[in-house]
Amino acid sequence: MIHDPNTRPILLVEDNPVDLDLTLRAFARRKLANPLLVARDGQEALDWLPRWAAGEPLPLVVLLDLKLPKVDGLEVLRRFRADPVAQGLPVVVLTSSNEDRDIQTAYQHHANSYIVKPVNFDKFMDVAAQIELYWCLINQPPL
Amino acid sequence: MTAPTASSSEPGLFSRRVLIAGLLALVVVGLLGTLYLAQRDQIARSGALLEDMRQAQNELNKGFLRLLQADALGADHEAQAGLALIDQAVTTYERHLRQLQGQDAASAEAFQAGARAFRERLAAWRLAPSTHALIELRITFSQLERQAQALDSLAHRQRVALQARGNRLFLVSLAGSILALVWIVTLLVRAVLRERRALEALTEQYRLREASEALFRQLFEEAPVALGLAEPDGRLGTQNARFVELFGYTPEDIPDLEAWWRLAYPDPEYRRAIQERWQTNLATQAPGPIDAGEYSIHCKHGETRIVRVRTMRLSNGLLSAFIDQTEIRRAEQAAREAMQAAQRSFEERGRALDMLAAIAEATQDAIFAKDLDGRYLLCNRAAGRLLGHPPEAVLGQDDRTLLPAAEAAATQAAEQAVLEHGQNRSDELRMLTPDGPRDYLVTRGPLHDAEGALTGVFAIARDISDLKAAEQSRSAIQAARVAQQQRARLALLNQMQDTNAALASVRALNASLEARVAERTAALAAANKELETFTYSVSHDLKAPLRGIDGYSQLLLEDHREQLDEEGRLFLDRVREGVTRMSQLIEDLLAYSRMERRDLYGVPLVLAHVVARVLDERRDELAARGVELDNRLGSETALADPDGLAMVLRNLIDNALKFSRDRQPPRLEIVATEGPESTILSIKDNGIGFDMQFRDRIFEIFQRLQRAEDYPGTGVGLAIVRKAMQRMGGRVWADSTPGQGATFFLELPR
Repeated sequence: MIHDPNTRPILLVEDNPVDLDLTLRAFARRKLANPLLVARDGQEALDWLPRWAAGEPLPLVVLLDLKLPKVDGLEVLRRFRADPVAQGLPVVVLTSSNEDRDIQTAYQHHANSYIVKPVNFDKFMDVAAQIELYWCLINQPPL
Repeated sequence: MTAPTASSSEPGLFSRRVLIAGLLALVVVGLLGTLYLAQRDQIARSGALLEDMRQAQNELNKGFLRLLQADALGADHEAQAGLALIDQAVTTYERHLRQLQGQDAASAEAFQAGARAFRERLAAWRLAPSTHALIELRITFSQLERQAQALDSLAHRQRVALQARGNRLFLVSLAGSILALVWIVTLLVRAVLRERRALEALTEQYRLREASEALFRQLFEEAPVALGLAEPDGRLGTQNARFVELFGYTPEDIPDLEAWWRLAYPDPEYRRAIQERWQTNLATQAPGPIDAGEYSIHCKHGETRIVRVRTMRLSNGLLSAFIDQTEIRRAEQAAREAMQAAQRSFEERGRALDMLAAIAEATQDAIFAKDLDGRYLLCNRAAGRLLGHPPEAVLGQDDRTLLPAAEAAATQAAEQAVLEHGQNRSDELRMLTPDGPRDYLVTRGPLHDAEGALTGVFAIARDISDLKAAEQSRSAIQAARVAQQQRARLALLNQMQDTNAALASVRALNASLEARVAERTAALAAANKELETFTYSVSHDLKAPLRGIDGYSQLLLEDHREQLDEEGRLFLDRVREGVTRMSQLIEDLLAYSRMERRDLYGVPLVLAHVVARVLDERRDELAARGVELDNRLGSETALADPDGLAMVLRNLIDNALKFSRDRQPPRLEIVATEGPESTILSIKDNGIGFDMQFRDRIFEIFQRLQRAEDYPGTGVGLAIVRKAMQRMGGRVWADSTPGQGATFFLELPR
């Protein structure tokens, strides 16, 4: 079924309450129209798979942290890519790590983008703005 | 090789001889025949004469009878007829007398006289025919008749004699003819036989010549050495199959010597020498073959063959034999080289042995070897020291005489285990030495001879007492570092606690941060390996709370500005500055840790390119500060990891800019020098410099010579530089005079 891109959600997978709060605030400042869904660990993110298969609207983009309780971000990405519904989903890795190893592995699992979260809040706001602009407005999502 | 030709004069001579013999025989037979015919003719004529004379005698008698009758009868005509007959008969006699005269002149004369007397008497009778005259005539007639009979018998005798002579002559001529014929036939037979023998000899000679020529040709053609015939005028006659096989040149390629020289000796200098040698050999009149020496001949298919040439003088030119020496010379060369290689390998082995011996003597490790019965075969100086005896005294002894019984038994057990398992094993072992108890790492292993048979055991004992002590102190340093980091974080927390009561929520977060940091640092202290896990975690977890501190400070400043007084805002700014420094420190630490873990690949680089890239990144800053840049790099190269080297250069250039910020103008000089094995890149500034007593400390992590408020920095930059240089197989050092600037040197392999 076809959903209006303006009402399709963004899924934020983030366990850290500070990062989660700041991210939500940043998007709130951008006056983002799309609903934000939150998964607090890897398992919660994976729990979305049957719901999407049952017909709930697919998110425009998944913002995925790597370091997560229960199931880590790279495993979530791998399972998404193995799932017929979620395999085409745009996934942006949004993490503190700028380790070569993490970047390499994320792309090997077909991440669509890899963004390092800046410490500086102004820069973090910039990143949120860029993500929203690009993935919600510029990019044409899969149906 | 011309065919032998038979003498053309032989058959002509033969036929002429036969002709002459035949003619001679004909002449002889003709002569004898003629003689015989003449004789027969004479006999016939003599017969006819005798017949005539007998007829004439009858006529005479008849004439006289008629005269007698006429006288008696008186018949005149009878007398007349008688007279005519007598006259005719006398004439006949007279005529024949001439023929008989040669035989008996006296008889003939007598008959002539008788005839004349009778004619006178006859004439007298005719004149006066009387009986007396008649008687007289009768007497005279009787006399004439006797004389005629004498003549007749004479003629008869003559005829018989002639006949006898004729017979003799016939026999003689017959015998002569037979003899002549026999002689001629003999002559002919002998001539024919001789001719035939000559012809047979000639044929045999010809056959032998042909056979010898064929043999020679076969020998020439099939000879196992290359043969070539040069004719006196310089044309080349024939070459045999081996020649063509050896050199590849066919007779069409080399019609004459000039062509041969040109092809076989392409080098003009060599060719001239060969031609001179040829002339010399040609002039040599020595009999027998000439050994012309060895030559390098360029073959048609391109290779060069070494041949020994022997030349023989033949009737129709010079025959040269080319004996191929190439394989022999090559084999000699190979043998020489193999000999030299063996010599070299022998010398190298000797040197290696010398070196091994020198190493064994020089090393601090105790090295010894024992045979299967435990007797020392080898013992170096360090081993001697360990055993407490000079090495010479140890050889041939076993441990039972050298060590206390317990140690000897332990050693023997360990060696027995090595021999049984056939594998090297290392044990740590504390031993009592003259210097007190020391720790040794003893590596034992089996010894094999060249055939692989077990011959004994070797052992190398290394004193690791100092190493162990160093390990312990290293752990202590690590613990100190961890403590220092902890202190830094505590300082940060203290700073935060100093800020404001409004930061209660921040403090709550800090508490959790502190707990996690404490937890992590505890893990870090456990082992060096965990430092890596820690630094990895730092990038994730340490940055998140910092982001919270910064984010909420910012939000406070933006959303609750009115509720804060000036001091509150200042504190928040300080918090944010602290966050910036902390964040920078984390980034630097991560960079340092990455440098430690990352693989750096040495690839050939043009230094100027990497330097240009880094300078370009700082172009605006360089321009803004008015830096005088003296970049003297050319095409110097080095082996380095491009990103690693760029990071090194970034740090050094940033450092140089930082410490020369007060100079007017700041100067930066970049030079590279290529050495035989390495390239040295130097970066010189005119900044504040440093005291050379700190020249090593500046490369240690967290070591700072300046206060952070004067020259901001984390104290990690130069540590990153040193780490990166080490990982790239190079090194870094610095030179400075305080106040005069500093020069940093980077040495990289080429």
